[in-house]
Amino acid sequence: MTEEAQDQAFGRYLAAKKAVAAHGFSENFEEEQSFATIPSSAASDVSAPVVLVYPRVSVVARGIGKTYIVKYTETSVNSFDIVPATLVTSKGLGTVGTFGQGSSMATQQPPTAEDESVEEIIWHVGTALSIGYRAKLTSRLSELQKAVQEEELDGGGITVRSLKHFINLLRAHPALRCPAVSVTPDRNIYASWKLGSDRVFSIHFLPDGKVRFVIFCPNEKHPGEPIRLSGTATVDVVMSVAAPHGVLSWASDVRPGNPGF
Amino acid sequence: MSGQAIPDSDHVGRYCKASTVENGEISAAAFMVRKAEEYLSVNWLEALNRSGRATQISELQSLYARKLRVGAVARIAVLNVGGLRAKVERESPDSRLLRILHEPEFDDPSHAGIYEIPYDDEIVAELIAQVVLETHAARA
Repeated sequence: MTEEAQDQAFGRYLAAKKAVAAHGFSENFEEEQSFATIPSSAASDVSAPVVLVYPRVSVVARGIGKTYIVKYTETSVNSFDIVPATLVTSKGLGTVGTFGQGSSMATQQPPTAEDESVEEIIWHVGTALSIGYRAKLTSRLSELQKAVQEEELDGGGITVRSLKHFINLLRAHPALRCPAVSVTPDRNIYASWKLGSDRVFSIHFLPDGKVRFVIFCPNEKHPGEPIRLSGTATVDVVMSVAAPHGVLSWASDVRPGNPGF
Repeated sequence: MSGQAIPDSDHVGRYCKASTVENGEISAAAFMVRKAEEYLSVNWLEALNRSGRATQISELQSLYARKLRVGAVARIAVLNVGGLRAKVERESPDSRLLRILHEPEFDDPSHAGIYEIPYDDEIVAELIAQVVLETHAARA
């Protein structure tokens, strides 16, 4: 079995385990011999949501003596959060032009399970996110999660909601290049796209769907006097806010004439 | 002496967690403060009373091993005090004047703090990341 196939199998196992546990049928799910999965064709398509098909899961609840037949069909586990599309402000030296609610991200996201873990989100990134650098990103996020858990005295990891908003942004803007990713003292995701010291675009993803961003970009009229600005927005509009400052010229593969945003 | 301003010619070392380092590069996240934090903790290298950079770093590694859970890829970022202050004053939108003060602790006599880093604006952290002079492994 390849590593990718193992990851997919693990993901299906996780989802099935959750579903069974939610029904309280078995505490020793891992020992059940009757558990079986049939991967759908969609699961092997990287651009499609992961769809699990469990034709039959049979478990025996202890001390009851009854057999429960549970049929799961087409249970989607590809869920991300809805982010607010409100308040946009900016401050600093630059002139922020008019921008609209450019992204439709907020209306594209299905509701999420509150108990989704960082590990599950990372698994989704590695199996279902349609971006060219997903293997690299998965590796980096796993590395970060491990690092945070080792560093923090409480053993906690990356803030789940911050990570979700970060992934939402990448999913909504697949032309973005893979950012440098780090974790802030509050355990939030901090993503940066940089080209030299005068082209910086960084986003701090807050758990509530807001972001704080920083942009350094060249001043075409006054070389040597770069524009530096920072501000707050919501994750669904931050690219619309940043794009007029030319960040896409180094943060994405988008070029003039091919807006993409 | 607590509260003593560190001379511009001197240097401070910042412990950068593994989660703020990618391929040896230090992220601005390493220079952010939490909401309740008054300053960013650093160590005044010249106050370690070691002759050269290598022995200063070695001393810091020993100190970190006693105080922290040092990650395998964690780094020490070395900053010049004057260069850091000038950069932030010149390039931050509000011409921010950082203060870098000695804040010795019982078990960490070279401990110091960078004051005036805003909690809710990452621009200063980005500027600090741009003036890192050197980085060294945080674990010996």
